[in-house]
Amino acid sequence: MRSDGRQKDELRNIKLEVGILRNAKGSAYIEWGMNKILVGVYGPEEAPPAIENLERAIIKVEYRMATFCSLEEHGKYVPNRRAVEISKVLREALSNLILVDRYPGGLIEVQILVLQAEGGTRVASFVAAVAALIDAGIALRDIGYGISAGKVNNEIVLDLSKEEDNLGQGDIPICITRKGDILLLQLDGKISYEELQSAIEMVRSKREFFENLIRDAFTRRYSKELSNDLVRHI
Amino acid sequence: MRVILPGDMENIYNLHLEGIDAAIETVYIPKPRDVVIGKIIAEKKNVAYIVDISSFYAMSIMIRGLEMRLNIGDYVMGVVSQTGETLENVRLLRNGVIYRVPESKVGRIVGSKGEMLKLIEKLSNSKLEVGRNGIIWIGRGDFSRAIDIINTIVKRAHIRGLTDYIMKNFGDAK
Repeated sequence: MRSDGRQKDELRNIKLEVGILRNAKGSAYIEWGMNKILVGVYGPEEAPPAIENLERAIIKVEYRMATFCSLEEHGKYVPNRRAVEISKVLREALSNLILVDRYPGGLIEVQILVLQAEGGTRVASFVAAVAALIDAGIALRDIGYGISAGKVNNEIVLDLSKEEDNLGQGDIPICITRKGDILLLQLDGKISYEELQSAIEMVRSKREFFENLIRDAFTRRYSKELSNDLVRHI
Repeated sequence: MRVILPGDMENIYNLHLEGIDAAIETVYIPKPRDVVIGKIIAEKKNVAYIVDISSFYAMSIMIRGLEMRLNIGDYVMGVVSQTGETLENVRLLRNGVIYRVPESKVGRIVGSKGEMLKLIEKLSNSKLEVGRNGIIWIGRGDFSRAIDIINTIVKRAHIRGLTDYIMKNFGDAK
């Protein structure tokens, strides 16, 4: 039994909404347990000559934590070490999901703002970023999702909360595509090879849940007549 | 209604609705022989005009061989050349209203064999030029009525029976 009474492979409540920012090309808002994250996608636009690549698009990811998002980060707004690291790993994960060679010389910006943090924000940001990219009409190889697995009380569990993350024996955020290709895998703590294998298997088994989550979000958006928000650039 | 996500089927990389061919939202990528409308944003002295076509890179118009003088801020209509970087057969669009819609809705606004476009022109008594990149020039007639109809099409682009809906809502007032 875990600290909040969940089963080993039980996720927290997840709610996803897409298309909520008018001025972004695509946007998404996710509530994952107590995590609240807003993602906007801008572009593709022409990349500045200093960073442009004429064969593929450049992806820029900016992960920011609001000053009020959690206790430790209180009062700091400049990107800290943690934010810089997460921006980098998410950029690399998303670069492998987006068909970057379709937009040569382009720049795609993904802006992530964490309003409230309670463990597992990087994987929650990843799910929201994928939904926002689909909403923006950017070509993706496949849909992707992420869950942070971890080791608590000598057992591998899914979706660590903040206490489990801080007091547990290890934490393994994993982002994969629906087909099962790994896009991001980080590991902190001591974990055997077999435990890692079973963690990846557990994440892969949640495939259908995330597929339905993203599909439902878009079905809700398009099932009724579209609101005025769709008529952009007026 | 079923939503088709990227990766659901072979060669599907954007969001689709079941039964409708065009993707719901896409990014415009210039293709050779596309007719586009753009705005002149800069001039390279005696070489080229730079045209913003609301894609992720700008087009240029070569000044050599061009018979008119263009100014920054003018809207022009042209055909994307084989190389995909310059505009040919350029025409200046004067005295009209420019309206922008998402690029993926252009197919619905033009309709099959241009039927919807003719309907809009008839109902609002206007002259329209539609660029494949989502920029529309409305030449004369009832601008606000034409924009009303275009907005309705954009909002309901994913619903069947659009022509009937437009006829029902805008057809009788004339």
